Amino acid sequence: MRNTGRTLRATTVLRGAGVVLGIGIALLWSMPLIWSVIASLRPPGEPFARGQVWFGSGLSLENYVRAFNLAPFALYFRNTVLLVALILSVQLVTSSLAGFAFAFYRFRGQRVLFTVILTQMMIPTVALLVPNFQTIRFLGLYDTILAMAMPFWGSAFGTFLLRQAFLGIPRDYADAAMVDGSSWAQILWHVYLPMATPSVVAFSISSVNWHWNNLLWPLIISQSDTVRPLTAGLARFTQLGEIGAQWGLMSAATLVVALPLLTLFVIFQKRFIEGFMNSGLK
Amino acid sequence: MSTRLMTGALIVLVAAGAFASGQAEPVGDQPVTIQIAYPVAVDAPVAEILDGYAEEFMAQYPNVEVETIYAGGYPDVKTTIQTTIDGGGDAPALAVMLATDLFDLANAQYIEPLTPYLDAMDDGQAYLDDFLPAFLANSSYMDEIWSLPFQRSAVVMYYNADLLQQTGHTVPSDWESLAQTASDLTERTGDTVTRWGIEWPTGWPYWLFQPLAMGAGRNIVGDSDTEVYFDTPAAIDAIGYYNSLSHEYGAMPEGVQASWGNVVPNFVSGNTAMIVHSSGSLSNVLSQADFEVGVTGIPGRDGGSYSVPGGGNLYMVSGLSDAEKQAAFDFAVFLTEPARAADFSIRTGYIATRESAFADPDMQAWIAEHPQAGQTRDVLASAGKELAVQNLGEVRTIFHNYLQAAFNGEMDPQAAMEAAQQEADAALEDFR
Repeated sequence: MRNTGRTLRATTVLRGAGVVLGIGIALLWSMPLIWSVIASLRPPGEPFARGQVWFGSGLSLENYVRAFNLAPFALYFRNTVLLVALILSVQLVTSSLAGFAFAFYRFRGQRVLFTVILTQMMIPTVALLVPNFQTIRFLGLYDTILAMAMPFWGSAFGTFLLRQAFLGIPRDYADAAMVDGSSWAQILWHVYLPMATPSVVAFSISSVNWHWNNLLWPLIISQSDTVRPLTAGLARFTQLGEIGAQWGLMSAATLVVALPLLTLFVIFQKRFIEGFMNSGLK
Repeated sequence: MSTRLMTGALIVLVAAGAFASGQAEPVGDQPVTIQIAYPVAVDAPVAEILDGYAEEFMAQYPNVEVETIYAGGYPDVKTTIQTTIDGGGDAPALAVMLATDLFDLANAQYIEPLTPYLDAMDDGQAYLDDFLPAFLANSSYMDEIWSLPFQRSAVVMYYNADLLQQTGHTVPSDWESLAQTASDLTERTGDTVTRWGIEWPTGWPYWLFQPLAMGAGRNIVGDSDTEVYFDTPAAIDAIGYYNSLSHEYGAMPEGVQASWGNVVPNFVSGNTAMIVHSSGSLSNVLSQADFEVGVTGIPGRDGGSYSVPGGGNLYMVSGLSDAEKQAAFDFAVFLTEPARAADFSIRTGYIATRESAFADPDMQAWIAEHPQAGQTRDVLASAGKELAVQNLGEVRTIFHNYLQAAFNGEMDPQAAMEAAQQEADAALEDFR
C-alpha cells in the first residue's frame, strides 16, 4: 500500500517534470514564430539593433499594409491553394493505385520496377528542370497552374509510403472481401485505404507542405502574376540581397504566407493523431 | 575530347548564324513582342517602375509590345534564362543579371554581344563613354560589349557624421585614422560592447574586401579574365589590417562577421559608428537614421578612397529574331537614357549609371536635398573592377574559404593567400 503510494507520487512528480520539460521545448521550438509575430508588429521606422529586437514603442500593422501593397497576396493565395489541391488529389490516386499494385499483386519485374521508382527519390528536382520544361512546352502549358502541378503527379515517396502501409495490413481482410465478391477496386477503397489512413494523412501533410513552399519551378514555368503562387510573392521580400534585411516586413510577409498552412496543420494534427488511434490492429 | 566537342559546336553555331543572317527578315513594321526578366534586390517597387517605363516605350514604339517578368532574385533570373534556352523555349529578350555573370553567360552562349547595335548607333561610342567607367568595367569580353549598366551599386562606408563631429573627429582618410577613430568611438560597459566603432560584414567577403586590397596597392583582379592576385603583399596586408581592427584596436567584432542583414539596423540606431555596406542601402539608411549620415569610399593605407561596383546589367538573350533583337536593344537604350537613369536612381536608391544623368534637373534637385546621393557618385570616381573571371563560382569559393580562414585566425594570412592563389590558378588553368 505504501509502496503504491510512493510509486504514485513518483509518477506524479515525473509527469509534472515531463510537462514542464515539454512546455520548455515547445516554447523553444516556437520561438522563431513568436519572434516573427512580434517583429511584424514593430513600427517600421524603428530598426532592430543589438539589444532592441523585441517590442518597439507600440504595435503597428504598417508592415502588413506594406506587404499587401507590394504583392497581390489574395491572388497568389488562390493560386497556391489550387496548385496544392491539384497536385495532392492526383498524387493520392496515382500513389494509392501504385502502392496497392505493389502490395497486393505478385507480378514479373515487380522488384525491379519498385527499385526504379525508389531511385526516382534520389534525383534532385533541379536536375529535372530542363526536361520538365521541354515536356511542358511540348504540351503547350507554359504559364499555367497545370504546368506547375504536372511534374509532381507521380510521387515515388507516396507510392513507397502507401505500399509499406498496405503491406502492414493482414492479407486475411482482403481474402475475406474477395470471398464476399469484392472487386480489386472495392478492396482498395473499403479495406486498404481506411486502414492506411495515418499514412495517407502523413503523406498529404508532407506533400502540401512541400508544394506550398516550392518556389523555383513555379517561378520558371510562369511569367504572369495571375498564375503565380504565394512563394513568388514572398521572394520579393526575402531576396533583397543588395540591402540589409527588413526583418519587420519580411516577418509580416512570411506570416501572411505561412498562416493558412499553420492553421491547417493545427487542425490536421488532431486528425493525424486520431488516425493513429483508430488504426486498430497490432 | 572536350576541345574537339567545343570546336564542333562552334562550327555548327557559326554555320547556323550565317544561315540565320542569310535569311534575315525585314525589320520595321511588323509587330514585335519582347520580354524583360528582372530580379528585385532592393526595397523599392521595381516592378511598378519598370511597368511604367515599358508603357512609355510602347507609346513611342507602337509596333513593339514589352512584357515585364518578375523572376525572383538574381540566381532565379539566371536559372530561368538557362532553363528556357536549354529547354528550347522562347526566353525573354532582355534579362537583368549580375554584371559578373558575363563570362559564364557568354561562354554558354546564353547572351548576344551588343557591339553590332552600338556600332549602328549614330553616336555609339559617345553613348558608351557616358556610362561611369567603373560600371562598364564588367561589360567587355572577346573585344565585344555584352551588357549595359542598369541597376548598379557600390561598396561604401557610412559614418555617423554627428557623432564624429561631437567627438571631434574628422572623416577618416587613411588606415591609421580609420582604426584610431573606430577605436575612439567604441564604447564598452564592463565587458559588453555598447557601440562598435566599425562593422565590416564578411559573410560573403570578396566584395567588401576588394576596396581594402586596392587601398593597400593592388586589386585582386586585373584586366585579364584568367588572372587573380590573391597572394600579393596588398591582399595579405589588407587581411592583416582587417584583423588588427579587432585584435589591436578592439574597434570591430572579431573574425568573420556574418552580419550583412544586421549592420544597417545597428548603424541607424546609433549602435555602430561606421559600417561598410552597399550603396543600395542608402535610402533605407537615410529614412531611418535620425542623425546626419556621411558616405565615403574605403580609405586606403596611405590615403585615397577605394570602392568596387556591384549589381546588375542589361543582357540581350540569344536566339531572338532580328526584329526582336532590334526592339530589345532599343528598349535597353531607352532604359538607360539620362532622364530615366536619373529617375530610376531616385526611386530605387541605385546609383545613376551615366554622367549625363547627374546633370538631369530632377537628379540635381535630389542631390541638393540628399547630398549623400552625390557622395556615392564621388566614391565611384576611384572605383576598381569587381571580381569577375572565368569559372567565377569556383574561384570565388576558393577565395572565400581561405580569406575567412585568415579572418578567423585559423590560417596565417600569407599561407592562406598562397594556398588560395595556387588553387585559383589551377581552376583557371583550362581557360588560359
